[in-house]
Amino acid sequence: MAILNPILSKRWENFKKIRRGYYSLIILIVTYLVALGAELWVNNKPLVVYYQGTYYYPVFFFYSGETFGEDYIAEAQYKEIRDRPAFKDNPDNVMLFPFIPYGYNESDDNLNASPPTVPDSRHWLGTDDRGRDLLTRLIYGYRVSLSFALVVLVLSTIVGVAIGAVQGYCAGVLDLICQRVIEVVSALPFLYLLILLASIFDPSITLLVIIFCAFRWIGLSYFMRAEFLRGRKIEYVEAARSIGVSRVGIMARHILPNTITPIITLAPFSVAASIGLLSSLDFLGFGVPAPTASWGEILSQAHANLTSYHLSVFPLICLFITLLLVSFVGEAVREAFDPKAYFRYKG
Amino acid sequence: MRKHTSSGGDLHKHIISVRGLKKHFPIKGGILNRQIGAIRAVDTVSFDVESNKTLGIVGESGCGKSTLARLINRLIEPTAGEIYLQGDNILAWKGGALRRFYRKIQVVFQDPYASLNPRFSMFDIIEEPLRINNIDTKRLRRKRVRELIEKSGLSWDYRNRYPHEFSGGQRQRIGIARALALHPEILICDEPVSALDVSVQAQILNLLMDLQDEFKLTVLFISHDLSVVNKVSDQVIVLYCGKIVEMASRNRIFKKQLHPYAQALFSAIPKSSPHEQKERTLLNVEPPSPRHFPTGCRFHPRCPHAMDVCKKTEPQLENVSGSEDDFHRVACHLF
Repeated sequence: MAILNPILSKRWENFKKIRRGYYSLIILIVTYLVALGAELWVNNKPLVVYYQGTYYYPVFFFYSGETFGEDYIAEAQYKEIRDRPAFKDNPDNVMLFPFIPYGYNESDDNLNASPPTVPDSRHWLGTDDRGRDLLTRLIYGYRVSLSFALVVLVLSTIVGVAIGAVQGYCAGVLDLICQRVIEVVSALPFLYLLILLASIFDPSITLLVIIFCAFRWIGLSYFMRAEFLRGRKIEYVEAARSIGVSRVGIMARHILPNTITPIITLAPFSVAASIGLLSSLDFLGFGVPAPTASWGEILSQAHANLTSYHLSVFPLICLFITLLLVSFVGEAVREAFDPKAYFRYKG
Repeated sequence: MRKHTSSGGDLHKHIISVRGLKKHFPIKGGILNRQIGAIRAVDTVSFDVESNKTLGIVGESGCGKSTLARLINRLIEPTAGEIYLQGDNILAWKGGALRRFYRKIQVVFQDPYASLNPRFSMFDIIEEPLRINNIDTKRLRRKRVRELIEKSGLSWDYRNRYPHEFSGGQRQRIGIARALALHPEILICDEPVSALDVSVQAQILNLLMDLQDEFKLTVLFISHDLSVVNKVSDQVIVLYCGKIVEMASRNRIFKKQLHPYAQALFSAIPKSSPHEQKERTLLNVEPPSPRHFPTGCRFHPRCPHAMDVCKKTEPQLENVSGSEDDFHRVACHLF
């Protein structure tokens, strides 16, 4: 932690002491990294194929059907090829599938009942209404939710910090105008506007990110504005001005590093809000476009298939645990950054 | 610092000259948020400072000392008046010229805990003025920073420490080193020692005086502590409610104050021994509100010698010493 300044590393130490938040953060990071590599262990493409004396790695490379003696040039259908006599008859031919051998958009045609099927030994958490493996959908959905939330967090933080900083540092008329504009924007009903825009434009993740960011920065900009209003009057900022540091230099190098408390403290709560909101949009059908795995979409299936308990129980558990962990992190961060802690004696 | 010039010659070669400087902060109010008044923080102030001399600026809290410093350093824009640096009007400077100007005037701030960025190490703080102004290569800058650190009585070994790891006195030394990094001609010290304890104050004052000789600095020394001003100044200005009420060489003013306010202010210097006989002039009335200064002489409601004329006409600053070289100017109807 050498690159961090002493105050920040002290806070990091404080954060580590709050076990619940610290372990929650570790769990979230580890599960997210594991989910990022989901193609390696949850996939309907084999990791390794040994076919007629050659090794193939379908997870990493594209192979057309012709490679394996099929009559199409599209991507090889490995599960079909595996069951072909031409492949099976040679005992040297091997196909090694990942731990969970299903794709997130792969319908299982060999179900012994009509989908959605309940959990069994073949599909541990059952399948959804198109016969897709639920566990696979949940894992890919976790990746989508968290990635989405993080991208929104980063972009909205940049926008919020920039606008709040300019407002606070320049103050005066510019601040006044911006503040009125912000009040107008924040008075718009977010969900309705989102549904409206999602029905006008083709739904895509990019569009969702843009719409989310257009609203998410506001909360942070209030804090940044206040911090910069305070910061511009501090003596070391005046000192910087009197040695000739430019405005941007003062904002970026002198004030910003001293205002990260609201940025970091708000981050986990923003992530939690984004995950929750994305799920509710998916539930309503205005979220991520169709084949993308998403928890909200599974929940809307559960709404349509009330007798299939697994469609509602498992995504809800996932959602609950994820939001709980994120909230634990947020709570611990807030506590670690609490300035009152400096004035308290340790017992 | 205490070298007293009596001969003329270089007296007219002023490094800094202030003419009729005013700063009025507007008071806004009413439904339309219009200006309904003004706080006249600095009101028609004029003075000259000679090169390599120290001008002490004294006065009670709120008399406009710090506003004056901020005006001269161009941190705020004046309402009216001119400031000349070696004959150039600095208020006309913008952009690049203003940046170059900043090299000539530097400030040592009052609070050493607020004037250093907590996220910069000592080295970064002192190097920044050089880096910002693209002075030298990285390697030469390092050498210069080292010199500055050592001249300021700090240890090069502590260069990577952060401000909170230093004591108040050490922090003020860092502030001084930063101010001197650009080799300024004028150093504004805005109560540089009032946040320090007495033993450290003396060290910092000695350091400032040594560096003044070494860097050939002209110092504007703002303080409410008269014993400190006595130690460092060549010339003293007494400010009251944004106006100069008395102005003289240190020797003259510490020997005899003419303006009743200056008398009261100087009588507040604590006795240096319990046996010393000292008369204390007490002022009964509170200082006036800066929104509504009294008419005529601003001091008249508190003045023990107030006359009728004081309530009506404002006294002008006039020389009463009889000599232009060793002047003693006072703004009072008694003289």
